[in-house]
Amino acid sequence: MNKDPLRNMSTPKSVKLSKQEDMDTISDIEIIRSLLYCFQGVDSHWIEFNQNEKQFIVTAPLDFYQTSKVNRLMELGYLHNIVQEYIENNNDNKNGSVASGIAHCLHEELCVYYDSINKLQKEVNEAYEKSKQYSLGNLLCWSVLWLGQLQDLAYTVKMIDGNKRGGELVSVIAPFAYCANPYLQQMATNMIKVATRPLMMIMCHWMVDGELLDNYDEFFIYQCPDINNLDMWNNRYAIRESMVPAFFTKEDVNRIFRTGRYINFLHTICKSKPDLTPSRKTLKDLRNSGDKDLFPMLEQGSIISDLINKACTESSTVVLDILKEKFKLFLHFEGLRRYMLLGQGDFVTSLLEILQPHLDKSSGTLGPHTFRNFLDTAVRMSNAQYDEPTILKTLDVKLLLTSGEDCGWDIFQLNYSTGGPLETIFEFSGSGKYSIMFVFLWRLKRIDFVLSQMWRELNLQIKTSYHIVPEIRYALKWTNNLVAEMVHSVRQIQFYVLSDVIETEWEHFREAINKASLLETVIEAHNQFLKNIFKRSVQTEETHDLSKKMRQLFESVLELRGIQERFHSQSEHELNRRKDLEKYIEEHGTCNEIENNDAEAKEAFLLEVDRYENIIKEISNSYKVDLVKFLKKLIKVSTDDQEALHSLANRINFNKYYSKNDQDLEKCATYICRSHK
Amino acid sequence: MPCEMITVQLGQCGNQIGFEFWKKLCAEHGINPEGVLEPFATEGVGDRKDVFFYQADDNHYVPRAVLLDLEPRVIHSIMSSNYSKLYNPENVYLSKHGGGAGNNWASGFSQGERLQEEVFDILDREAEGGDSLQGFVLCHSIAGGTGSGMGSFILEHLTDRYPKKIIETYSVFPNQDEISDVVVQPYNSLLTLKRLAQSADCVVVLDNTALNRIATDRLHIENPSFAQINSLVSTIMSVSTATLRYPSYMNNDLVGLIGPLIPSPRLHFLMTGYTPLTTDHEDANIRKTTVFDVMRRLLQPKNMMVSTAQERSTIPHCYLSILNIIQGDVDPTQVYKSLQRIRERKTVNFINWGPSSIQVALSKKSPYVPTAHRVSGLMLANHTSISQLFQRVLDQYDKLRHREAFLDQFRKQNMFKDDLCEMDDSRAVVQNLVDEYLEATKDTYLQWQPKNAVNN
Repeated sequence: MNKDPLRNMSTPKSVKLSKQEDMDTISDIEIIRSLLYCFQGVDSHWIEFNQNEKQFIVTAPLDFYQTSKVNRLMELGYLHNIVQEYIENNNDNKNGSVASGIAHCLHEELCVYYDSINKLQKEVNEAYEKSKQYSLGNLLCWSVLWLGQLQDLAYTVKMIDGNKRGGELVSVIAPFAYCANPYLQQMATNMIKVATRPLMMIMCHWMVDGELLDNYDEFFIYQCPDINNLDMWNNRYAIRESMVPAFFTKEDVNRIFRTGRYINFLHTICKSKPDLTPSRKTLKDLRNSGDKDLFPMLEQGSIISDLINKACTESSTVVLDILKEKFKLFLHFEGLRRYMLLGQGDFVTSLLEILQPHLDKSSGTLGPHTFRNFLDTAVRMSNAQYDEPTILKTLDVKLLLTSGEDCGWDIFQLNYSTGGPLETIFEFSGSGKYSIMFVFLWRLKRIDFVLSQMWRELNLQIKTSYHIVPEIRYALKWTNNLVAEMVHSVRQIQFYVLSDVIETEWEHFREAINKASLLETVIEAHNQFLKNIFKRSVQTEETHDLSKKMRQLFESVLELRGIQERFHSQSEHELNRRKDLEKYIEEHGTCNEIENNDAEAKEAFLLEVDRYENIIKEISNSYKVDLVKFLKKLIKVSTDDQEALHSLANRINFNKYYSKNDQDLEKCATYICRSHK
Repeated sequence: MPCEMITVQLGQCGNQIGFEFWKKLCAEHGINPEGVLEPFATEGVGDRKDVFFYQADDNHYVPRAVLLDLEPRVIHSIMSSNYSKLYNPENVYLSKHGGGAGNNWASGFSQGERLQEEVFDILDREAEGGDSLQGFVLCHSIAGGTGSGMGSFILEHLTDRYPKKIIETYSVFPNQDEISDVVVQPYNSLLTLKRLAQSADCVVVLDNTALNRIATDRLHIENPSFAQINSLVSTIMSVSTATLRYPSYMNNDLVGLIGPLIPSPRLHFLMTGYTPLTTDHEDANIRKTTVFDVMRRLLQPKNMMVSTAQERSTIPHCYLSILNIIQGDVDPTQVYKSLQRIRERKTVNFINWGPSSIQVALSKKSPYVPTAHRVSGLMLANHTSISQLFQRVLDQYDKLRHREAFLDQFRKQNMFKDDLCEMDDSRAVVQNLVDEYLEATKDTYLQWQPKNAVNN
């Protein structure tokens, strides 16, 4: 096939001459009659269309002059067939309603052409009857105008042919509406008007009723198959760029898409059919009138564009209002803050206290039902009891699948699942984001809780066993000091995460959504909020190293707790042994055996104390090393927008305890500090 | 509830500050003097009234308070005030003989011993009434008779009976600027200090010397009355419990609150500072108080409510820890920026044997009590210079003891009938406390241990 369609059309190489020189040449009038058929693509006595070669073949004997004229004239037939073929292939919605519309327009153009041929035929007949001369020359004169027009039509057909459909097809025609050729321009305008009528209907229907009535697969929004209601918001509908008519702006497309999605969401997920907003009412009228097209969209600031914009804004507001009022969106945000992000501190403390004895054990012994009861107790024991019933109803526990070796802490989570429309859009539970954040914060709280317990136990132990078991004084002092050190860093981390990050970001988020009138604004603010708290509390991929170091610090606390607990019961045991012995001796007196046994027991205990002291020193040293590494990493990753991380490092090292022997740490702290100013 | 507290107010002073404290709590929670929720407060503002109150069957809020005294004056005035219906009358205990403790520690202690059954009946009943008691708050003065003597007895026995509960005291130290009519004050103070050192988990020191100076110098009150001083005290008490009563992300339980303040168990005496003081409100019209202002001012000695002479001391006194409870209109980012500035100025001395810093707790404020200031702050600080207060007690004790002055009244009581061992022992305990605070200013603190000589 020739790559240049134009040349291919205008110079049909198909026209060949049959060599019949021995016959007499026929008269002009005879060949003219055949040509009139040929113009309409119909075979006749002297000219036949060869389907295989797609060319007309002249069987008549012609002289040299006739041949050249006939060749030129036959081009009309050739062009006509091209157009006619398109019409036949595309009418009756075979390739969709848009193509059908275009076929219709082309057909109308051809009808005018046929009229002209009819008139011509009459002229020829009259001339023949009156024995006047009507030559091929006359015909050529007539053909000039049509040749041009049919060339244009055939050119158009060549451009739009090739399985293009729907919006894509409109895009191809659109540029013609701006071309300098008045005939083409007129025709293209007409085509766009006719061809976009079905698109207009689909669009209006989509925006008014939130449904796609796209029988011929022509619209630029399509429905993905097999998407359940939970996935509806993100995945059920999509835009296919190729089908967007060229004269639609990105904003228009987006707004149309969003409007329909809102309405669909309202109807299918919220089961709510609020009254039509003014713009959508107008759209409905446009749809019902049935003869409106998208041609006005070609102009900037068109009425339709304006209408789309308004409909989108109105629908967004309607959806947001319904989510707020009927589905308590903002209340649930507050619920997420209080429970998944641990904002209801007294509840969290209660829950920790209640759960601790059960979670320390290996998992699997308690069912979800028991945990649900613990949760209810924690609610009753804290201010959570006064919380909105809607929030409390949504709050639940989630137990992860256990491998058998996990302890309860690994599998217990709170779950806040709103389900319904809110889940569809925001995926509070589905995205797992809140769940991840909860696990992190819960761990932080648990570490803090464990430290409080150790602090309390040590305080008591110092009060009670100090004088009776003096051997443990140093051990207790060092443990106490290590606990104090851990309390200090964990507190600072906790303050940073809960106050600097979550509370601050929450305030920003709250301000943003209170001002918002569009659903988009709220969705975006919510995404931003989640993104920020993940990023700033170093829970993203990029900060993996830092969060690993933080976890290591937490692990040390738990390790210490295990060892301290064991030592605590050992020294309690020793304390009681000595008390009992003293009492016994007071009552019964002593003897060698008793004294020896006592000395042995004391010695054995002393060994335990020694061992314990060494372990404490080890943990203490490694904790310091880990903490300094953590601090250095903190300073390293703190960039301009993460200045607060650097400040966290400075707060942990506020009195320069960690940098007094580590020049590196102080140096890089000062350096970054200056570069921030 | 995980954070229920029982308040025990003892003696004249204890009952007076207790009375002011409950007045303040009622105002902050919107509870009227009869224990009924005011109509404007029925909605609740996320406050937890149950930390200090419980609800009676008829929904009245009743303070979880026990009022004890050996003489009737103050308790009578409380019970004839318009707050009389607030308290559970069964929790108000007045010694029948009503003669007081005669400003004598030993008398108070022995009366405590004699009345222990009745007193602990009340305390046990109150403790059983709660779902989960976290601790006791004791209000008393260390210099008189009842608060110090009976207070000492109760402190010792609370620890035995409720070993797992936190005991926090608000202890009033006598005014050194005026001559006291209680001549045995040094004895009383010393003997009480021993119990505060050994039995309490946390002592908030309310130094009358400093409070009076603040009232006269800063608030320009010529002869500050007890009520005026006590209103300062009740502010300290209410703010220091604010994070328990208005739960948020952090500091919702007592251990969590005081744990970080007390890195070393015996060093559990806290000083306080508050800004801006109420009569500063002329300033409020022209000044916009920022978080930084508040944090900076809290570090100034003149705002400290303990009279120590840090600047004159040759010892490099330092902070073991600081907690600033900031209330009002605060953006958390201002907090870390302020901390950064304070750190860069290097004006605050901290221990160097362990990490330490200024911790900040942001707390909600009662919407029912209007204040002139956007931001206000209370500092709870563990500072080694508090040992000067104890040293002062030791010095005065030594002077009296040297002259064997006023010991007769003590010898009359059982405890001191045979010898004055208890006094010597207490002196050793307090001396150890002073020593430990001084050791804490040095790098070598971790290697230090108190002398073994001290017996139980």
